Amino acid sequence: MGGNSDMPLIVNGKRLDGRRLDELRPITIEAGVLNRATGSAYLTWGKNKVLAAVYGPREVFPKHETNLYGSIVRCRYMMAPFSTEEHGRAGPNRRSREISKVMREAFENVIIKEVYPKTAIDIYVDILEGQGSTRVAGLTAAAVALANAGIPMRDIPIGISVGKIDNQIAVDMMREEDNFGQADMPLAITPLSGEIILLQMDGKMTREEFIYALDLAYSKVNEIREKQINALREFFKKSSAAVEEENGEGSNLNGIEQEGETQDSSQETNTLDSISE
Amino acid sequence: MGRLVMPGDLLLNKPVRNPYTYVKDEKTYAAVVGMFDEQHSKFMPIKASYLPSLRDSVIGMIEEEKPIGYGVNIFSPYHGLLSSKSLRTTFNVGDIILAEVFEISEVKDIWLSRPVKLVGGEIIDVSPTKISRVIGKHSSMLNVLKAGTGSNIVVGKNGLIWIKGGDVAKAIDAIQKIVREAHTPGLTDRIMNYLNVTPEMLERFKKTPQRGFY
Repeated sequence: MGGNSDMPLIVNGKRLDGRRLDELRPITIEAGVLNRATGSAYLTWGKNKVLAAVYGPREVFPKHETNLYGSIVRCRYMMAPFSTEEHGRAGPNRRSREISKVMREAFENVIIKEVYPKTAIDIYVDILEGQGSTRVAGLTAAAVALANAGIPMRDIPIGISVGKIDNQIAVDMMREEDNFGQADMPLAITPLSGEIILLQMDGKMTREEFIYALDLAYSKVNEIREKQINALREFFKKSSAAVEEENGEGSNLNGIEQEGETQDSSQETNTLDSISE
Repeated sequence: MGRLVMPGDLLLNKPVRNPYTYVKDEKTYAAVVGMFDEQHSKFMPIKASYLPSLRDSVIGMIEEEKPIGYGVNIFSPYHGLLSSKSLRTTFNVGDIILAEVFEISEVKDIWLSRPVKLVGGEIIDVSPTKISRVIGKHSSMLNVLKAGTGSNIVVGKNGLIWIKGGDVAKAIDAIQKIVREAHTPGLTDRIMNYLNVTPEMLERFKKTPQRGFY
């Protein structure tokens, strides 16, 4: 990192796995994979495999950490010992504690903590297989898990990494590029407001390269956001799947997208108008 | 009956306060995944933890005995408390009770009152946001469930439903159907079909006096 390496990372304009410089690895996300967690998500991002789980809002232990005016957010990022090429040691280490901290601070910016005072929201991110840019993959998965858990948030953040390899700026760094490239910059962005809630950089870039890298990251935000939204939609369809089977003709699931017919709506849900009084 | 919205989606062009929405620049945005009904400006989260509010009836479990009364697990982020001052009966740890929220202190202690012990029966839990549909307008849905199954059903606002007697399995099936289809219109009619409840049966049920909790 930071210097020129002997390993060529760009051959004939293509990267080691055949991607273009501005191409992401394929991403799949599934929401609600764990029954006992409040919310969960399983994400694959290239060869990365990430399981994220959210518990809470729940009681705070130890009690002295309680915040009377909002919930506290706790995050634990962990790489499984078998997640990398060389078998690692189990348990937290310096690197995972740092990532847990920056991830927690990223989520503290989007979670609306005032809704559930005196509670804790626990986020667990487990890397089952790591092939570079695991912190942004973990953050993307944890964001889906949080939305799946029904935690009030201002936005669903996304994670993305950019970097410099063989003197060129590329998006979505994989392990070899991370290890032998010149710079690596993980980012977390809130897609709707465009705010940056996590930014770290390892290596060197010029000011122009940095700005170009940032633009490149922003151009990929919607692509990742769509994957997250689709995962949450799929989960909703799955949890109300019986509607399709039983209602035959007028499948009410279609009614989600388009305007449903007018109806007496016989329930006592929160009427936003009446609350505003 | 509305569209699926994601956290951060615009709901209204005016500011409105609600635990599941937030306001930015005089506009209201969704904070959780939910169904938004534009015509009625109704927002129903798909999933949410139970936030106690005054006069809610909740179903809880006696968790511990304290000098001041009992600690009650009300399946919410907060603890329920039952003061023994106003109690005429005693409870044991593990008892299931129906109680009313009568005070929420500033440190979010949930004080309960008017406890009723629920003996026997079965309990299922559903998302607290779907409870309003299980009850229905003026208990319309609840009456259908009771008339169709002959069960005694008590619904707690915290998402717990106690069912005893009658066709319990059928009642659970129907409630799970309600929960799955909570976002669709015309649900009461479909449940009436599902349980083979005719309007006459419903009228007859409404006229018969309700049984107690035993």
